[in-house]
Amino acid sequence: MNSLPQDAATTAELHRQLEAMRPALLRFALLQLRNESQAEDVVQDALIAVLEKPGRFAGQSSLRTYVTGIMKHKIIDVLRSSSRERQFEPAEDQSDDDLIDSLFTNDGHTHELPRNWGDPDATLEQKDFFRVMEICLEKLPAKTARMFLMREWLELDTEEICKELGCSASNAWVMLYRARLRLRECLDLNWFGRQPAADAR
Amino acid sequence: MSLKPTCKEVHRLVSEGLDRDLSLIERARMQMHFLVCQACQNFNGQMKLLRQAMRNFRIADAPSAPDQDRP
Repeated sequence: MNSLPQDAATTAELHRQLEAMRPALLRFALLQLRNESQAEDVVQDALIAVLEKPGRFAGQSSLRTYVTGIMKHKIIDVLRSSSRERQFEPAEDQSDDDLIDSLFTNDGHTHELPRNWGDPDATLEQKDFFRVMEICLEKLPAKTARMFLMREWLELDTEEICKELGCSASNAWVMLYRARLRLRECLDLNWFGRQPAADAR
Repeated sequence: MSLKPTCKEVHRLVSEGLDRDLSLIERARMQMHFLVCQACQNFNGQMKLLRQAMRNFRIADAPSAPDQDRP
């Protein structure tokens, strides 16, 4: 029982804040579901769920965390409840086998020393980090992004992912490896390469 | 499989270690390699950050000018 009296002004403000998040939520849901109407449903469900159970959050960033978390569970529900498209052509990213090869010399050493990205906690506190992360996720090939998000955001294991996408485990490991390499490159270029502090040798 | 793992092998193991349980031998090869290889150590750190970031993912602020900081 929620006995806290919610005055109209607070509800209106929450409403406004949630509406402001809708485009970003939709973009992100789409990245995972690749289906406009499913994505809209999930976002709508998540927003309603928050309005019905506003919970407690200290400010904007915690509200975003809360909404994102609720949407995540809605998406997992959708993925689990539907036996949607099973046709999965892992060929998508095959063309860049050289993506992996290009990092290494013939005798298997790295061409370049990967940058030390420093303390993860400090990075994740930065306000714009997740924006850059999202841009990098959007740049992944569609299926690679789906698989990566299922694994890393929804935290499904490879077995469940392959059941959903119809791929072999070893196939999934290679695709996830590629996804990580691409994200790493994008973040290194657009985030870590621009942070003077993290770059201090 | 040679005695000493290459960076290429260790990079792959670092990634696969996030998706499956590595064998004892694979883990040992990886750890031995880390002792002498800054490149793979740094790569491992990068992969850990990626994982932590996705586990804590939240949508960003509603951007007022969405494209302004696109690379």
